[in-house]
Amino acid sequence: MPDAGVAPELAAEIEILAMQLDGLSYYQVLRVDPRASAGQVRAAYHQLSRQYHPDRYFHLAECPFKQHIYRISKRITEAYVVLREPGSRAQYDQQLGASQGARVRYTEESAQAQKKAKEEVTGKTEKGRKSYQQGLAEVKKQNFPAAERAFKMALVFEPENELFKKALADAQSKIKVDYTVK
Amino acid sequence: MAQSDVVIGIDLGTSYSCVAIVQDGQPVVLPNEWGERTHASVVSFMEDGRIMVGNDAKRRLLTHPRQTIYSAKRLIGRYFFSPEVKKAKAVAPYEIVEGPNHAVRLKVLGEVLSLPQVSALVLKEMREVAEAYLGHPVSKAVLTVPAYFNDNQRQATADAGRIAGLDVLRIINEPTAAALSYGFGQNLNQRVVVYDLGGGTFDVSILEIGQDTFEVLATAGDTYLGGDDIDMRLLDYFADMFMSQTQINLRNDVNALQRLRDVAEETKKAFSQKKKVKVQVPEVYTDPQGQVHNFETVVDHDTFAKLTMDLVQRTFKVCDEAFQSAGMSVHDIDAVILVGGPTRLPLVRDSARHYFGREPSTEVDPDEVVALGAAIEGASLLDDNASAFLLDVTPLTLRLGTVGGYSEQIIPKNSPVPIDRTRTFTTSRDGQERVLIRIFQGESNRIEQNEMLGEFAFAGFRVAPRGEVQIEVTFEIDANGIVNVSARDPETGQSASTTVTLSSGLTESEIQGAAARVQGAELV
Repeated sequence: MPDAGVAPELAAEIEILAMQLDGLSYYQVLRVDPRASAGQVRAAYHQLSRQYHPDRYFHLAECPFKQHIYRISKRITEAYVVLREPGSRAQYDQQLGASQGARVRYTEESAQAQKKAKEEVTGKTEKGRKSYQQGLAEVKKQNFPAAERAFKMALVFEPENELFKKALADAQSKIKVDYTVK
Repeated sequence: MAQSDVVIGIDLGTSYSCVAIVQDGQPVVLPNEWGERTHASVVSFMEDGRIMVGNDAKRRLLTHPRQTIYSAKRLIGRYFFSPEVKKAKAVAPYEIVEGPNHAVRLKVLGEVLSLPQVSALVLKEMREVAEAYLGHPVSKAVLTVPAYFNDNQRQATADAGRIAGLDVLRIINEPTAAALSYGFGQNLNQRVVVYDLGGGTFDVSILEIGQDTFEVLATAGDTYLGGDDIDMRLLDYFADMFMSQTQINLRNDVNALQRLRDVAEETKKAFSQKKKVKVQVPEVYTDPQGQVHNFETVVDHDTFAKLTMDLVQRTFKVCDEAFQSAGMSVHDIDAVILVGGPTRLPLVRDSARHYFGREPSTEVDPDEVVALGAAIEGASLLDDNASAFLLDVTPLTLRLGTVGGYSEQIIPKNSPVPIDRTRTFTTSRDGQERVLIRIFQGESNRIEQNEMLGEFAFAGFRVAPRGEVQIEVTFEIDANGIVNVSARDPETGQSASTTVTLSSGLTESEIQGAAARVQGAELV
């Protein structure tokens, strides 16, 4: 018997839960309402931890039941970690709504970081990106005053963009000025 | 209870270790045959191959400083090039050398020893204390580590357990063990802070105890801050004073230095009871002309406070960090638990009372509470009606090395464990057969400011044009706080082979070799 020491009903319940796990939202994993308060989320985490904590079954020999429990408890923890922080919870809700429940696990920060990095390289707005590219083209042609205007334009759309600021400063430093205004 | 079901809880401390079990439902510390309840974590090697561990070994620090190892825990799981190892090298009378992959080794009587091997000898002694007391063999154990220990230090401690021949059921964090001992069976609903200032490390953990559930909300620490550093301040003070009196630098004399260290520790301990401590070191130095020098002074409490106050203040900076992580303030706390020998000092107690704004709990013994907690956890794990659930956290952010010396966060610090995270990697070259990743722990974006845990190579997936092969890598932190990495091809579901290609840890054969030596060693 692979799951020695476990009541058959419990073994069956755990097996079904483990099978369903990848289709459950974090709210379903924690068995709380999507409008549940932070306190309710924590209470649910404590309650479920008592029930599914791997240490509860530590004394059993290695078996599929134990592996299921381990997977379930890790998912409970994951759900708690994402839902306890208002920031990640809001992002998760958005993701859940956008995918109509198709993506129930929180998308890694990696994807966001990559998107952010890409935005920093090319700009967040279409017009900003376009002006920036135009400026780069002018730099290539050594037409620095034109580049300056293009980068200034890009900064109108994205005043905080560090990359645009740097490009502008670079272009300005290359402009040869042969007069001064008194 | 069957003999095989006895689990010993071992607090493997920097300065002192302690062993406990749960007997008839009550956790108790097991004394040795002399009635000693804590044992110096000191290992002394003798010329005839015998090894002495504990309080007797500590006495040999004065007579055999080069072959007597103390505070090994300050070195375990560290890289040779780390600043902590440099600091230890500057003051240790024993020889610290570099091993493979920048690991740290000790050279004693011509033999090269790993740190886990030395710690294993302390564990073996704790096991023998328990066996002598109980009258039967024991093999199962729960070990404790500082909460702020990183993966390398935890792995090395786990290796020490294996080398000692112990079946280590779990590694738990010292402050968590203390909270468990404080709250177990008390039916509490409290938020507590554990301030754990040990011989070598400082930890602070904030926990929410809800009856049988012990949830760590945040932890912070400094793995190189403890009673040893207080001793060092006194030692420096004495050495400087002696130098100004005699122009003799005792730091250049191993034996004299060891005497001063011993006196410094005694002086520190005396300040737990006294306001003024008289220090006498007769015949501390004999100069080449044969003239014998004594050292004498009186240290008052103000001087002691001046010498050490910045160390104590550092602990509260760490506390600030923990409260910030938990999103709480000292007003949210119901109890303060002080752990570790140095918390007996009025200087530390008064500062803690002032910082936390309340009287620290006097219910726990600061030297024994961690071992008691480990014993409770051990008994609970083997009980099919487990009576305590620890929800602990990982103390450091797990990171993945990316391009240009930067790193990306995978699992943030203070995340509950066990937990896992999966990332998908794509090949970047045609026909690529291997994907190599490096993982780190720490709080900086720059990889060099973090601790490297290892370099992992994944192979055995399809060979195809670049970008076509995906490898799903799962990073897991288990209940011991130890990091596991595995990989699979999401298309075929086949798991890729994972090899650790760079790590400071011991190889399997090194562990086996050390185990044979440690388990065969005769402890006197």
